[in-house]
Amino acid sequence: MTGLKSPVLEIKDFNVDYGLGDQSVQAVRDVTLTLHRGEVLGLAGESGSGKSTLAYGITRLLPPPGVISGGSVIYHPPGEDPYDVMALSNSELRKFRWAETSIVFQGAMNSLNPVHKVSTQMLDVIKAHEPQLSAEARLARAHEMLKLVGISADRMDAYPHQLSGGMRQRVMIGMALVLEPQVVIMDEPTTALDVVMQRQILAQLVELRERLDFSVLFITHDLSLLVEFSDRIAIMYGGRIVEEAKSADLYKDSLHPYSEGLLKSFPALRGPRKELAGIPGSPPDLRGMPSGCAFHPRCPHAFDRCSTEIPVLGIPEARNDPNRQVACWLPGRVPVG
Amino acid sequence: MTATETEPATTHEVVLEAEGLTKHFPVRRGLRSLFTRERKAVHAVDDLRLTLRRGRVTALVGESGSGKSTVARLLAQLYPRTSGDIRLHGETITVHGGRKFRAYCRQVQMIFQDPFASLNPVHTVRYHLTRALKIHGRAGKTSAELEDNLRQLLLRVQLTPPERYLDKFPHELSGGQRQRVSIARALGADPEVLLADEPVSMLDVSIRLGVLNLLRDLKERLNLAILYITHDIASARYFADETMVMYAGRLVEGGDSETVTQQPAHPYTRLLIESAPDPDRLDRVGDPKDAPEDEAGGEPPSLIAPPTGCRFHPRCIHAMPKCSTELPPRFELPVISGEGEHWAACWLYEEGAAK
Repeated sequence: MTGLKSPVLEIKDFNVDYGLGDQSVQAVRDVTLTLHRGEVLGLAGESGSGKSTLAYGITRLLPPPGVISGGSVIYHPPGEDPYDVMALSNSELRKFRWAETSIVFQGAMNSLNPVHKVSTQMLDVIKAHEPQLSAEARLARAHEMLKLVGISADRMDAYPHQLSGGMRQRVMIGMALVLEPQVVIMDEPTTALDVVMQRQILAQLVELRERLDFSVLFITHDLSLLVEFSDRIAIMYGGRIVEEAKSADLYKDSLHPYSEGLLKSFPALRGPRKELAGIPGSPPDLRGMPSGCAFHPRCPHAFDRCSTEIPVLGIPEARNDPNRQVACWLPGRVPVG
Repeated sequence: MTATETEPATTHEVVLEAEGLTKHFPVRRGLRSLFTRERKAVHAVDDLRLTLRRGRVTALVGESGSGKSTVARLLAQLYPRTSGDIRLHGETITVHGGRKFRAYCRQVQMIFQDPFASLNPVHTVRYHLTRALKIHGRAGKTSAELEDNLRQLLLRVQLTPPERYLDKFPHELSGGQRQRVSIARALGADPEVLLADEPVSMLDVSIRLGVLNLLRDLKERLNLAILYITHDIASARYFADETMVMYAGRLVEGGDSETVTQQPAHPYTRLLIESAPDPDRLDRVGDPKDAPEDEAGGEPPSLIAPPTGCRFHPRCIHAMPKCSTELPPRFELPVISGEGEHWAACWLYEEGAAK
């Protein structure tokens, strides 16, 4: 929430394809994004916009036929030299995962193994990464972590099916944090939960972040949630980032017509009742991406240039603010220089 | 804002009513309980009273597991009810299938949550719609008439030009278009009531409003009664004339949408509204005191052995001794703005209610 600190994860010109050769579709295009230490970066977009693919890509968890076709992901460990995650060998990667970067998956409630106790699964994580710890120390660590996420110690020996959805989600978050990683990627962590539970878990996450000082890449389609919970937001459409700004700036003064349309797609709970329209048309098909700006067939302000040239992400002319970027050809939004 | 506000309220005749509607699902008995006498049941819906009027949208809001989808299925007569009455135009109706069921669903149609699952992937749009028209006897005598009816249906759901969509398979359509096809299929019966079970929650955010606006438009043009089931109270405020809040199988609050969302009375409704994401609350980011009104950590109760008295009392910060023993009836609340009624099933309002 304070000024921007040093980067912890730098994604540069990242590209992901599905399939090879002429059958391939381009799911993520030229994404450049920086996650700073201690911030919550929101990544919003519709289904098929490439937001989950990006998350799996940067951790090299992408299942075939996904192929990372270019780009680098520079990780900055505290007090050490930065390195490229894409260049790690398998054994280095194994150490990097979970200890440095962990993921809370979309259906996190279902990513626990149903035949093992919560404690077994939790201890397993610690054992794999810190084999030098004694059994008591491991247990103490697991206890402490579960307490942090609000699960009492007597639930340690429960099986996943004995816990409610929200508790399972908390266990997953606890497991992601148990090795004190620098980066936590959350892929729609609360989509399957009720609003009441969602708010509790997110409030807890914000509290934990202040205590443990990790960075979060928060992926969701619910922009109204992101505006409230993240420091910065990047909006993806058709595999590219179309706008990036601080949450408050994006909410009050969005520059890309897509962000604007997305913000107008959420009926308000307070204030005057307004007639809303959403965005006409439907999200693009990756197999047949529109030429130029991928959003132009749905854009109310589209003009000739939009259908021929792909807009580049840059600091918009009209707002001379280094903290925001937009990819749009509209007057005043064209990048400086 | 809607046409209904300009018309006198008397034109909204009651189409479908439920009174004391109850559904208990029996729990499978394990070996250990085979010899005991008690038979356990999931109390999915208990003593529900609901009225659907022509030209009105009634929203049913609740968490997952609160029984709201069961209500839709009971009203569509897809489940037999444990007890209670469902009245169509004032007549109690119970159907179990066959001709009577078809006659019933000619008037009461359902739209399902997932348009990816509710359309048959091996058949075209034309097949789906023709079947609906034929079953309900509206296909016309000649093939030209049928063709015309099909075109009308697609035009109604704003899939234009109709020729482009008629021979498509579901996988060739986007989620929003698929949901429009399933709405067209429901309209094929020329129903009076639409039961929409989370019609937009599987769709992309940017196209949800398009579908809701379409439903509202249909409501006004065809004078439909719509039951809109959702977990998103903000969309209920946007779309529905009347909102009912359901918690653990019981209705806890109801009334005009604007009143319910702006002056929520029941502690559960307040909790629900407090918890909804609100971008205007930027200054309060991460404040742990953000989610008040909840003592039990957001857990809905087990419906096999629901709490006695008010089902919300274990989580309620205003709970009194009376709450855990006696079931609160509906208390009428003063309506501050507009017509309509506003009620809450909560003992807090016992004294304020009209004697």
